[in-house]
Amino acid sequence: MKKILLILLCFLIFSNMATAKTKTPTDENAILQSEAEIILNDMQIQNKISNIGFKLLNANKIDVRMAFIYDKKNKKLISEKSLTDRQIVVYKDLIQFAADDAEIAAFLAREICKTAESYAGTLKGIIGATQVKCAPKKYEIFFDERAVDYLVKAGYNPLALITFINKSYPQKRYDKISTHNLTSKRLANIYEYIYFQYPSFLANNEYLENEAYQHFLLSSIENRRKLQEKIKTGSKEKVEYE
Amino acid sequence: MNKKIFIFIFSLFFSINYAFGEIINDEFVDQTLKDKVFDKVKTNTNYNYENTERVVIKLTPKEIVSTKKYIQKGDILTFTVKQNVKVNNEVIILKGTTATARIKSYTTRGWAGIPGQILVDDFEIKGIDSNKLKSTYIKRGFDATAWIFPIKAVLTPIPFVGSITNLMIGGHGKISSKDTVVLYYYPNWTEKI
Repeated sequence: MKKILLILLCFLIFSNMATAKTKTPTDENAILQSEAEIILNDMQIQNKISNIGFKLLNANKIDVRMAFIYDKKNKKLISEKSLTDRQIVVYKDLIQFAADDAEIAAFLAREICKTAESYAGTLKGIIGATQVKCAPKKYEIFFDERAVDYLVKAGYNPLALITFINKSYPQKRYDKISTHNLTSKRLANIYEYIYFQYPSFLANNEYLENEAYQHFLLSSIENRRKLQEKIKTGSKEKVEYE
Repeated sequence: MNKKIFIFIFSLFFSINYAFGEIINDEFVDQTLKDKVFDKVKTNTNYNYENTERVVIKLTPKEIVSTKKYIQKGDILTFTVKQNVKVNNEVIILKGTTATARIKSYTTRGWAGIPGQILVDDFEIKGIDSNKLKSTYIKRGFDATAWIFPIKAVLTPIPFVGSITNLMIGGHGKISSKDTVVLYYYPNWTEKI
């Protein structure tokens, strides 16, 4: 038995030695190549984000400065730097939900609205930014609606905002005492906004076979019924979505 | 064996068909929007902002809108041009010309002196290319946050006292004929080559 164990031990030691052998030039080249590939990949993502971001700013004639930064290290979803440093940080954990350029644009458009708000008001925007921080729920719907306008002006499909939010934001139980609206409520508001402002996107819906959009349709049946009622009756009252 | 393979392929075929058949159509959209003809959506993707020459256009609102009541987003507002607009000494818009715009979004007033605000955009003036206008107009109500936030910061160390400042409410956002909307028209902005 001892012999068997000794042979096994020797085998393990030798196998480890074999793997821990000194790196040959070809190994080093392979490591350098893989690092270069990672850097190139990051550059491509950063470039894409910056291009989409600046396209949104230009198309909407937003004449205030803001930077778009891709961050793959920190595990966050939304950064507060958009209000303080006017830096729109795109975290890997969130952007990986985006399936196409329109969905990346959807996320950026929302953050651009928020950042633009930090330029408003006295003390070079300190007051404007503090208002958004103090009452995020109040501004959430406002930013969603503006994001739809920004997307359309830049030539993107605004329904991408629905699919992106549906994929990436959680659904809480209540929002009465919360600092944020229920995601389902936000989605219903975006849908209503698109219905009234840009109905052609719904009439010729490119996202109808998108799984996230289909699930939005499924989960928003009650909210959409409320909107239908409003449209049928010609009501000018606010629809209370859930 | 062949029978089993046949059943397997048959069931696979039906499951795929069933999955496609499950797509939910937005029936209400189909009923209300499908046969309608829509104006082309206005985009602005062909810009060149090199030129800096600009002309001011001042407008006076004709209607009163306030965040006190629910506002239907997308409603059209009308404005009157306050004075003649000249480019190279040539009048391009006459005083009294009617302009239109849409209410795009708004927020209601809130605690801690946060004001309500109305955002108006998509201005249209006859003879003017709207892509050459810098035109987003935001009207905010009475903003008390500039003095409430510092007071709140000072009082917060005393338990519950800082929170009292939250009871102050900001003003409603209101657009009326007393306001002057200032737009900038850049006549020499050309499209990208």
